[in-house]
Amino acid sequence: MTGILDITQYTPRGLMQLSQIASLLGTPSGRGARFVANFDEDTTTMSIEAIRMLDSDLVIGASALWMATTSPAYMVKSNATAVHAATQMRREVPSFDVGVSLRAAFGSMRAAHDSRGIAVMSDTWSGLPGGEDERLGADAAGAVVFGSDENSIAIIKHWRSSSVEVLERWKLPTEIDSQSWDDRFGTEALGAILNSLLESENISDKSIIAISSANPRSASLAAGLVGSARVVPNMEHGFSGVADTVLKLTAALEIAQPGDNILLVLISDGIELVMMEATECIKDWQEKHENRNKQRLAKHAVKYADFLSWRGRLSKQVPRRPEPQAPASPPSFRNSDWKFGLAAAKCIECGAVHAPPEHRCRGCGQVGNFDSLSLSRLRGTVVTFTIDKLAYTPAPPLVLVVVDFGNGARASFEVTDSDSSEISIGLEVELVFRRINTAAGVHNYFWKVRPIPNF
Amino acid sequence: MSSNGFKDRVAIVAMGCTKFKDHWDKSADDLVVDAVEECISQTNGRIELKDVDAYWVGTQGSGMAGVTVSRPLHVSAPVTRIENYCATGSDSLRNAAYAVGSGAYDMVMAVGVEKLKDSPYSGLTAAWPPADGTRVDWTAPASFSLLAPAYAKKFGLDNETMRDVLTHIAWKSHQNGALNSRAQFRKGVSKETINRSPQIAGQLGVFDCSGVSDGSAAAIVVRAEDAYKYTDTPMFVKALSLVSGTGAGLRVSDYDFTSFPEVEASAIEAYRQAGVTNPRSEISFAEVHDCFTPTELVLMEDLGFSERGMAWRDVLDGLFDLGGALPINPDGGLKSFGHPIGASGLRMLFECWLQFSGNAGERQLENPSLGLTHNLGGQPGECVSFVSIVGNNLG
Repeated sequence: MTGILDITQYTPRGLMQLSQIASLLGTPSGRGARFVANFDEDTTTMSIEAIRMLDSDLVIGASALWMATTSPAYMVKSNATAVHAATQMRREVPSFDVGVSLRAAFGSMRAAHDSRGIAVMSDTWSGLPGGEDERLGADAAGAVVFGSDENSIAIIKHWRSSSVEVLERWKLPTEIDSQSWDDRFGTEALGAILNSLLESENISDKSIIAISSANPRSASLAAGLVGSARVVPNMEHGFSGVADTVLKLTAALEIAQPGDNILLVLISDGIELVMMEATECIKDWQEKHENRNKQRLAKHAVKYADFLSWRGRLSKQVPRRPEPQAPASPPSFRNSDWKFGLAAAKCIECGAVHAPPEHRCRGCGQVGNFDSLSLSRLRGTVVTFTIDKLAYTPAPPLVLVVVDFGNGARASFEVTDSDSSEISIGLEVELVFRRINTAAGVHNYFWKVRPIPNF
Repeated sequence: MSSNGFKDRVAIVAMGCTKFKDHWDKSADDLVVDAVEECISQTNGRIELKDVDAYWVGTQGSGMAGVTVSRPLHVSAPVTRIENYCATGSDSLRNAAYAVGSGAYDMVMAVGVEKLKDSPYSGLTAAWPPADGTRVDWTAPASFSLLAPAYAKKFGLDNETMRDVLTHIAWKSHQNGALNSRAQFRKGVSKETINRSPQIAGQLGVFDCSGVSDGSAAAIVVRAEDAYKYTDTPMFVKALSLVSGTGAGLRVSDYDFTSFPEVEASAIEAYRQAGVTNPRSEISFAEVHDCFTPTELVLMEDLGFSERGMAWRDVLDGLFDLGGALPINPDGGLKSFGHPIGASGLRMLFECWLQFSGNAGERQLENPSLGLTHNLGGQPGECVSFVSIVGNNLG
């Protein structure tokens, strides 16, 4: 029997009040707010955050990684391998990008289920300024681990599929925003199939139904076809593309009792669904999940002008500083354990820790004999810091810190997801994987730090 | 590891120094010609360009190879191009001195030149080799701004006192620069203006940071015993010291950002070579690397002019003002001149040259005997430090 062993959701710290859109553009005023990824986040970095929240044993032991997104950081080059490297999965574990449509949510989960691996779904979802997609969209990610452990929190009963060729929502690779036909068309086109699939499911009022669709009308139709079963509501802060599937599933698992049936439905170019049953272990997971939610930083208000600028829709005057240098492939490759895994080098003879790795030991002078020691799950302490107003950053101010790791190693980082007023000497920080910048068509990924929330 | 003293082995017998400013109308070649022309012509015929046996030229980014100097001067000669971060200009002098002291050459010229204003950028920039993108790209103000909170915390200064100390340093340097026709900034600045200036990094405002300019300077070095053939006021080299550090400060957990170990080491070595046992009383004046105001503060302790943790008090007491017991940067410093990297070290020696020959005008100090120049390149935690000690008498 294969089931879900663990599941996490990642939502960015940034929250943008939708009323700002109306103020600027005079469009109908949206209510509430949407999740906005920071300028240094993308679908790759959010996938990594979601996976790092999973039980680390499950990540180390995973036998495959399937990454789904409709907005990949790179094409042609794998993004899953970056996720694989930053989460320190074993070299022999296969990692694949499952793209590029919304259906990839189920593509990644079915593949992860069959291979007893991890499915991660991550998206940055938006649209033209003033439009519905922008207003109702969100950025988020989530990860699901499948396995045949007796500690599954939900056992998978069956999958059902119906693939339909329909031009309901689409985007050319060269375009930024997707287009869609009238919602009513999509709902009409898939209505009969949806009806028949749901009719053949054993839905009772103890069932929990989670429905994901880029077409809200289709989702509403499905909700109306399940009698008095509980339906997970739409995400308060927006529809996050492929990630919406895992966010909805998480919401269903949050309220499930042992023995409850959970039906997860995706309406996109057809219908995909999976039926699962919550086990006794769901309770432990719910407690763990609540603790994970407590580890979230306080939300940070994002200005609409920044959102437009970060998404490339508003070019702003930048200071007279050189363009950042793109990382070169040979040094990035030979240093990839440091760059992606934050792996320091520990001297085999005297134990001195070097961050970044060096060829000669600073402690005893021996050359070439080091073990690898990842710092990415350690806490650091701020030794000193500064706010740099000369350097360019899309989200001023730029805060730089020197951090000690408690094992003799020290390194410098940018700070992210923080007001500069939070930074002080002695502050404890955690590591987070981000996109430093993009230059000359190359993304520069590395780790940054952020304050550890305290309660 | 040995370092054999060099005291009174060589002397500087002629110097030239252009104005430091935005020389929109001059190239690096032009500036080299101007500095060398001044250097040669002030010898009143005692030295001609053809008498120079070899050259060392310091430039960080305004020229490559020896042609930086041999092309504009139209000489065919041994020329070495030097780069050592902000100690570049000083290091060209150091090498020129060793070339003469070794006996390999009789007369060697050290030149420094930099054209920063041909670049469109604010602040200093550097062209690093291709890398993996993980190194924090510290701007110079950001990296040196780390000194201020660390110093204040360690020695118990509140924000207001720290600000007063840094402001006094900037104010003092601009007062001096106002008396210097070669400086980029030739006006005094009030302390209120300094306190109110827009912030650049950390606690540092615009007036806490030295500027960007173009300039060039040159010096001719001969053996000490030949010095009086060329000038009545030779400047004898008592000490030359250079320390390039391990970079441990940024990578190992014990550096506390309140001093520069490289500076301390290079100063101790220089004092040993020169036979100086009490720098505070024996050094008449010093030109130090005031790239940023907290740098100058920390240097006072690393160079042994102030007790650890007491430099701030000495600054506020006016010890380092032009009229104080130990004038620091009497010519106005990097603050008033800007920092054309290849030229700054030689500009510092040029002030020593003027002071010892009685030509420092309104900045003239009374009977100076020993001058110290200091250059620092890199950033707190990983840097290169140079110290020289020069004087107007043998012994």
